[in-house]
Amino acid sequence: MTSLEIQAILLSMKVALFSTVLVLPVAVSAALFLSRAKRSVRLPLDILITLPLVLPPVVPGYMLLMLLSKKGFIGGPLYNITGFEIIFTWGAVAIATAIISLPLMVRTMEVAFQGVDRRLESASRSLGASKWRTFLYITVPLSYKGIIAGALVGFTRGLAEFGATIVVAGNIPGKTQTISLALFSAIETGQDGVAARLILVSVSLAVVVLVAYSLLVNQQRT
Amino acid sequence: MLKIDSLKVNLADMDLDITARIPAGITGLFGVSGSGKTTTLNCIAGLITPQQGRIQLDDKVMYAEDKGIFLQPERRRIGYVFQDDRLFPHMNVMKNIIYGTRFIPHYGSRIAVDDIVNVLELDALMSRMPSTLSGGERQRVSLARALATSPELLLLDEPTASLDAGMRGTVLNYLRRVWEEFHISMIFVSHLIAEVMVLADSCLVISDGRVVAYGSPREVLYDVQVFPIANIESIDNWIEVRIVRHYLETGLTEVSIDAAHTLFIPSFVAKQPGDRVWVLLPSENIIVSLSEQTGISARNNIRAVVKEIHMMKDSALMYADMGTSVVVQLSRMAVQELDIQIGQEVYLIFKSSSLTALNG
Repeated sequence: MTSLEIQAILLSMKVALFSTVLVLPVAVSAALFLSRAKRSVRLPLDILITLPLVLPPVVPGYMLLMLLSKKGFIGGPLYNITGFEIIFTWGAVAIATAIISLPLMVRTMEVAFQGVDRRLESASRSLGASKWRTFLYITVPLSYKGIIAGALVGFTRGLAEFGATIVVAGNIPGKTQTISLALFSAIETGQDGVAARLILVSVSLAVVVLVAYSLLVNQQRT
Repeated sequence: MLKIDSLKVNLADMDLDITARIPAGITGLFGVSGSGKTTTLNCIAGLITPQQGRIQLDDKVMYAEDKGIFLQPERRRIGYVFQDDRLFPHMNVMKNIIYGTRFIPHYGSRIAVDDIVNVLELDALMSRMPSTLSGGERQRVSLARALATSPELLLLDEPTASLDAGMRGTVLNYLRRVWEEFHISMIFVSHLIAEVMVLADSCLVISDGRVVAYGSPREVLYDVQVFPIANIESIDNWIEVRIVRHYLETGLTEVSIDAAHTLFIPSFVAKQPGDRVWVLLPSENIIVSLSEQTGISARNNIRAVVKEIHMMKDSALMYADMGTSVVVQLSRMAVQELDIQIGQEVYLIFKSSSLTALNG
């Protein structure tokens, strides 16, 4: 295995981990809101969060590019103040990955939060616990498996991310080239040995995470 | 004193509009299902927001629509024992009980957890998980959990609804002990007259979202005005008696209402002579006779004076005094044929086996 391949593998794992951690608070808040809100309030947020899941990943990638570039709504002020441009860095890869993983994480966690009996939460309030403490002591302990499962799903999706990443971060070996992008390059240039090794790594990583997920979900059932 | 003024809640099938003054002590909240009892409790606890009105406990305003006051449930210091006990499934009994204690200010803690555990006899259960407890045990833990926060008022929503008759008596006795030991006022929802009768000092009857009667349970629940409103099909007599003697060889226990009136009930050796106990006498199990009967198998043949007679749609209710007030349910035909008059002396006949002593 070449050092570029190893770098791609490490970058993929770093990005998947970083994006999962980055998006976790957002995913938990959104899932909690969706599981508790009235249908009329829920719908717009639900659609917004689900869009990256159903759109071609190139679309959110392009939107991110517009937002984060030197001339973008967020990227512009950032560049003017710090002189730093996030586009074509591994940070951009992480942000793109986070947006794409978010819907899957939210869906999984929403189901977990819906499974928590709201009557237990009102019991907690009547015993003197604020909303926040009730969330911490009652809701989270009763749904933590779903939260972890959501994070694992997000992590796996992060490892697989391709479309949005290539738009917003390019395919720079050793810098923004993840496993998927390296695999794409290997196939394009006919390097079958590299492709085979990267496929093996991809499948192994995915299997490990899916086994962990399945253990968790099965444990939840019993 | 809990003051509720023009408390309005619009529900899908009913509009609640409650005004009440509830003094310290145990108050029974009585009404058929769907009459608004639980909604009223939820408003008091702050679990739902009313549309209008005012709720004040002593000098603490908890809700005042006109002043924009809505005290969050966790700041009301009102304990709530739910009909479905709502124990936290991920905590053992001990952790459930002390859950609320960390949230109360130190000066607010008046009741020691140890005392609660003793009074409710929970010692042996402390390390068990809720899923391994019986219905009665769960209700006791739920009660202990609410008490541990030293609430200023305790709301109980049909805490015995899921229990069988024997367990029900036990829980009622615990509630009585809670009042005697800790002096926490309680509002106690029930749809069983018997429970309100045994437990409550005063009684509030709600029908269709409105308060229709208030007073002592005996006044209110035997009131013929309340009777049809509450849609009660049968009424039970709860009589407080004192154990006189056990007749072990015949399987009976003799109890007395007062010096002049004694009854025979099925052997009840759980209590000693001199102990007080409540016995249940269903109103439809009583036979009325105009003369004293001899040569009859029924062990109870009690002289009584007719106080009131009310003709209902399908039956008649006769209120009689046999040292205590009892209700007798009989057919309209029987009242007419026997020509029963107010003030008349009659004999009430019932088998010892139709009486049930309240366990616990």
